[in-house]
Amino acid sequence: MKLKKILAVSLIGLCSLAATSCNQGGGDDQLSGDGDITYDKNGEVVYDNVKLKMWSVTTGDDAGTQDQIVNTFNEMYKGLINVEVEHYSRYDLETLLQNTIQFDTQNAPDVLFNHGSRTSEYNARGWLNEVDFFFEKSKAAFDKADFAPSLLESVTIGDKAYGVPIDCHSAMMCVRKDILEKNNLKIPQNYQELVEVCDQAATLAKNNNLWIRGENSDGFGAIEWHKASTATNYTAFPISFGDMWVHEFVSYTAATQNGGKIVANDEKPAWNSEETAKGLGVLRDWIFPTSTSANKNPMSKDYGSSYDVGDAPFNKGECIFKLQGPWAWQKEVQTFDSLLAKDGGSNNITTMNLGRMFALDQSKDYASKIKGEGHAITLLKHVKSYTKCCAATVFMDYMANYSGIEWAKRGHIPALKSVTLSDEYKSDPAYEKYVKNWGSPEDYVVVPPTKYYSYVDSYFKGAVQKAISAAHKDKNIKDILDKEYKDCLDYIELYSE
Amino acid sequence: MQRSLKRGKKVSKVVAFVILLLVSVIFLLPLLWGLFGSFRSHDDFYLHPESFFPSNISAFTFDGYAELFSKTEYVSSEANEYYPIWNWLFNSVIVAFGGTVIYLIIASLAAYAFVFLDFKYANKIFYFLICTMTIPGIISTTPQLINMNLLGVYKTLLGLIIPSFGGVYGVFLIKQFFTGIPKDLIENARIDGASNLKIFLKVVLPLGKSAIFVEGLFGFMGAWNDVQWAQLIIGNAPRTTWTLAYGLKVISDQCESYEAITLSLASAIIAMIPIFIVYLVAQSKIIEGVANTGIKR
Amino acid sequence: MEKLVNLKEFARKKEKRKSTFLKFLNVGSFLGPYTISFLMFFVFPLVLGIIMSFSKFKSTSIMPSQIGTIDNYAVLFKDSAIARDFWKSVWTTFKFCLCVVPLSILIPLGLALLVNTKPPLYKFFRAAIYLPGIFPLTSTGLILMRLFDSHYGFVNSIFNLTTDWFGDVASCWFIIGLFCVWCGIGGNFIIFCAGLENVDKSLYEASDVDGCGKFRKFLHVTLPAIKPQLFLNLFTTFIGYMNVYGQIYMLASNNPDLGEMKSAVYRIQDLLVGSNPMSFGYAAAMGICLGVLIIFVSIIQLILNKERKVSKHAKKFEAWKESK
Repeated sequence: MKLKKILAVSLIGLCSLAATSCNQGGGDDQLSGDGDITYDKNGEVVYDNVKLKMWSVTTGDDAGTQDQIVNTFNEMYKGLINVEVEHYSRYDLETLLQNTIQFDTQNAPDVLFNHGSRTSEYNARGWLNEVDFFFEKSKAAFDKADFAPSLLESVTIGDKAYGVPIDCHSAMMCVRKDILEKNNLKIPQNYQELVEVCDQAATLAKNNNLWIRGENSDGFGAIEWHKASTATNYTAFPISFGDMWVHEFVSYTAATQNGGKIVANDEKPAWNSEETAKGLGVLRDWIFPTSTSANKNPMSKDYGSSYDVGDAPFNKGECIFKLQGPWAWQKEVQTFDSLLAKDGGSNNITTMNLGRMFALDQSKDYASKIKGEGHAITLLKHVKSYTKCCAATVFMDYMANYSGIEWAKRGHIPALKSVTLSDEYKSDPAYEKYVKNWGSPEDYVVVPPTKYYSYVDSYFKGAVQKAISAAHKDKNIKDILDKEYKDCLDYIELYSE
Repeated sequence: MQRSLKRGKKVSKVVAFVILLLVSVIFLLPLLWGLFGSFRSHDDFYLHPESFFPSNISAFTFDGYAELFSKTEYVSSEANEYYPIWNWLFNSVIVAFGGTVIYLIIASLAAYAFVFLDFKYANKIFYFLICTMTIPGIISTTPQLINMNLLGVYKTLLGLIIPSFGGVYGVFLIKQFFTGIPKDLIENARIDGASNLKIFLKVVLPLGKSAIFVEGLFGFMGAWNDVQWAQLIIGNAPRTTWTLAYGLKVISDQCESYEAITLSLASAIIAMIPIFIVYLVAQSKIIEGVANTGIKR
Repeated sequence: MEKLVNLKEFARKKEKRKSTFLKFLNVGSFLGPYTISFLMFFVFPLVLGIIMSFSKFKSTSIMPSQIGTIDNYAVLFKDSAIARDFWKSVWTTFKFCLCVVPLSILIPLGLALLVNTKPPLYKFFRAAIYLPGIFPLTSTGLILMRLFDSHYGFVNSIFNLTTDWFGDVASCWFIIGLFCVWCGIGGNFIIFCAGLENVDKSLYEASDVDGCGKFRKFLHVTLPAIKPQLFLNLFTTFIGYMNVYGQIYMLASNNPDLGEMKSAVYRIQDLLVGSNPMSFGYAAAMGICLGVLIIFVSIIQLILNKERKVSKHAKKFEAWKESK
């Protein structure tokens, strides 16, 4: 009896405890008035040592470059605005943000440097604030017409911007120019040429006529030309379903270049289409050619779940192309400068973007598109001080305009068209050398805003991995897509309030 | 008859030796491969995947370890590659050692009550405790996080330590051992007028210390190797508050490309070394202890 | 006279009350710290978890927005993707247990029997077999992944294989099983070693005189004697592997048929980590369902263990143990 009473009392206590705390967060307070902003006599917002905390999804060398860019900003705005950056890996960022906003709001970041496609999902969780309102107050520049349309769209919900796009990036191709030249093959500019080059290389190798060189253990020096082995197929462009470059960028790009859409107008997935299936078919044929495929020989071995599958063959000369993140280009250059030091070093390799590389029909305007991801800076909702929000817009404006060539050298093409056309950008030697090979921001498309982003993305990835794996190679790709689509939709419906 | 028995025993010993040797080698080889791998340059893995050791002298490298230990000082421009390993080691020791000691005190007091203070429903309560062991821990992960926040220990090392205090396993283990202590000893001490505290300290603890030692080591290993709970509690705390296992997991996550194999193996090995040392020192005690209690984790 | 009796009664009662009070104080002070921490760090979150399973959530907060609904459970018993995925994963977990639990019992039992013959270096072997289990799963899992890499892994190049161990469902389960045996049998192994150590040697001698064969000796002497250890291992190993998550997460995350690889806890974790708080209710309900299942199977184990007739030798053994 007593026990029951105690239980009942404690249960009620627990429930009320939980119920009272459920009112935290969220809350649709309208933005209006000036808040805590003070203006000087020219009508400008006064910043008195405003401290901003930014969480950034960049890690490794990218993070170092970003810190330098932010430090320059802090120097410029000394005494006015100071931004402090913390970097988190993309695996941990979301969980950490969730917990911090729930439990530890005072230590949560004020601005977030993350992938723009997630803006809509984050906003649905009540994490974000619109930025247009504050741009008006701070009079910082936000010329929407100047941004690459796809990137701006990804941070726009309704007609309001919830963040400022900074850059876009995708995977890139590394090319062994030396092998192509030695064998009288030309650098391909589109899918058809790529297939031709790969088929030619495979045929040459079969006839013991393909010259290769590179790091190897068969007693040849790195710069010594020798014939590729006839024992196995020569596959010029390794890909695999386990490779991050493939399931994060190439798969989307292949779908896009063949007319596939990722997200429908109602924010639900739209990749269950014939066009997407065609795009993924290109990748399947890549590894498992059939009588109807464009390539007659496999362009890649079946590397299965392995990742970074191009790295070793590329250095050994056992392939001509490989996928890589553009942020690693500097490293590639270093590797070849030392590997082929006695014969041209890094001049033996070049880099290209993914445009046109998977399009079956080059005449379509989507054939040149590259699916990328864009970084964007967003403003978090719990920042109540309007002065702080205005300072954030000043910072966003700076980052979009002045990340410039240094950030682009790491593969992050500026989101602002005017920046990519500026003298400062184009006169840098790096631009001629390699940055221009990665294209301009208009070539890139990102996933349109959807509050179901994580589901749209992860189920598509699942379909891609199945579509190009050996285990499912006899199944119709459209069927695979349809099945994943159905599951994806089922989960999405669970969450529609 | 006797002789053939003896010979039979000898033969079975030889067979046992051979099989055990084989199994031990299979069990140890991967660990050794990982250890040697942490000293190999990454291209050596590509060029000589069949080699167990670094394939030649030039493939031998300390780079992985050098990188890990070169970033122990905070540099504001390289905050993302700040690896204060010594802080992490210190925190791990605090969490694993401190948490375990306090839990041992709590658990052994409770075990004493269950065994030597006969109170109503003691057995039933104890069975209930054992039943709770079947409940999947995942149910209470998020609530526990809310709980830690209510207690104000979110983002602190304390948040890593105190949830273990509610553990059932240790009480169970120590109780099993205390049950083996002859009750006469306790009764005699009572008749001599000793208080329960005195009996606990002077009689029960010395006799049950090996069980406590074993549970201590289990607790230590569990706390030392924990990554999941650590990420939830201290993942967004300053890096100096991280534990070794969590910090090395973060480094390992950053090694996305295959080229980072040396660094990621080196960080795996570093995470293994302290616990290996503890194992070496306490190895015989753990095994004898487990053997005696018949309890494991 | 009556007064005296009353007085006596009173004194006795008082004495009794005093001793109950003392006892209460004693029990309280010994059990108190644990009771408090058990309530605070085990019961409270558990109750909160149960409440969560009966709550609805909004996407903006991890606190429930409405309490007292059975929708979360209803969804799990409807024809929906989430229900299908969850029950499939439970079935997967169960099948996994059916394979791995016997291995985690039989292999260490076999090894312990071998060690028990005390061949040379047996202490070293005992230590070596226990060793892999003491390390963090993240470290040992990483080594295993590199070791079995399809193109540059040591195993494939030594044996000249091209198997993609992590890319195929069957081989991936094989590697996970290998991982569980490699890093998971240490504890069971040691317990069996202990159990065998404690078997009364005179029983063996008696059976030798009776001319028992090796197998019969094992069946009638050894096995009954280590039954407590056997049961303990079965109980804890089963519970442990019904909650399997880390091993699968580490090794299978790049499998194209990830849906076939996910265990029940993996599915629940999917809903909890970095995901929409609206799914927390479902996750909690799934956790409760899984818990109920585990308890159910554990009870069956308990009953089976109790009901089986205790053999003669085991009784003898028990008697001997008592006398010690």
